[in-house]
Amino acid sequence: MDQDYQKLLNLLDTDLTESNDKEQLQQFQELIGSPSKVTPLSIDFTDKVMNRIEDEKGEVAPKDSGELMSKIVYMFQRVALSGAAAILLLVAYTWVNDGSISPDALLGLSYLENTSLDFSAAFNNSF
Amino acid sequence: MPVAIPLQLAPIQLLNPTMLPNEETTMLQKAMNGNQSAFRQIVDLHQRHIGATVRGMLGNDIAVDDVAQETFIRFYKSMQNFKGQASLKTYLTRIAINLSLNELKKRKRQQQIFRSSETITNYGENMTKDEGKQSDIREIIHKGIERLDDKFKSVLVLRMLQGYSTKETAEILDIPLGTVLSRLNTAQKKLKEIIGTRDG
Repeated sequence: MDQDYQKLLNLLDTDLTESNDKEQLQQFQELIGSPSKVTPLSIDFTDKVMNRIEDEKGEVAPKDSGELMSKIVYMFQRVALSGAAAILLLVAYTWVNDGSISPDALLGLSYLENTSLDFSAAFNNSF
Repeated sequence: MPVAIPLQLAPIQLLNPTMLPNEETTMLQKAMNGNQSAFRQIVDLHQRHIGATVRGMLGNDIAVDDVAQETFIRFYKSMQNFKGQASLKTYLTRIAINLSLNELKKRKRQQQIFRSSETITNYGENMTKDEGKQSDIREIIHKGIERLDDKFKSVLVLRMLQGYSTKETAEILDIPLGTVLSRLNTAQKKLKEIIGTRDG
């Protein structure tokens, strides 16, 4: 091991040129073995790749669609679900807070009192 | 009344398949025409090499599998652009190196955000005793390469660990041969500095 280690250090110390390229490469290979010895990937790697390809196929945008409509539909599909979830959350939040989902409640106007409106109206009329 | 002509797509042909072995050309052409089992064969054939390349770039990391998967998925998506000027192995390696470099950049950004003195390993820092006692010479090289700058990392991984010649390395990285030679010389010296400091 120590001998190999020393060999490696010496090899790293040699200047690499176009002419000694092959020779140095061969020496490296003798020292560290075949590059294909290492397998760092999971056992079901191929299956994972094929599954991901299958999954992504469903999400691929229409290829030959020059049509604006299909592009819009494709974009809409991507945002529709998260948009719908956001709307549902807003409605649920309003219902819990105000006990109603009236347009006023949704716009946050349910707490506006008549008196304050009267006051502002009176204030405007004074000018 | 107009007669409807059934649409029949011509099978896709490789423009320049001279770099590819016959069997691989057939497999590739089948995959290009939508044959899934042919693409599966391509993945089986090249996964070991691509995995080793990505592992060399990223070290022992959970992301190795993901980046290797992404390599084949990117190839699948852009397969129609592959004209066969380079070998399939070279082409896939190029994708793998680029994706690994992206991953390394992403990590650097994350490290800048969550900077911690414990997690950052500085270049040139001495190897610990445990690392130095690694019995496998390949492991020592791996550990050393992990501490190099990205541009040195890619040339050393291709050259030392994957066994590519300087010419092939230049082709994969799409840089001049002179640049590869100069980077390799510098990288080798830096690697020697790193692994040369280990305790017996």
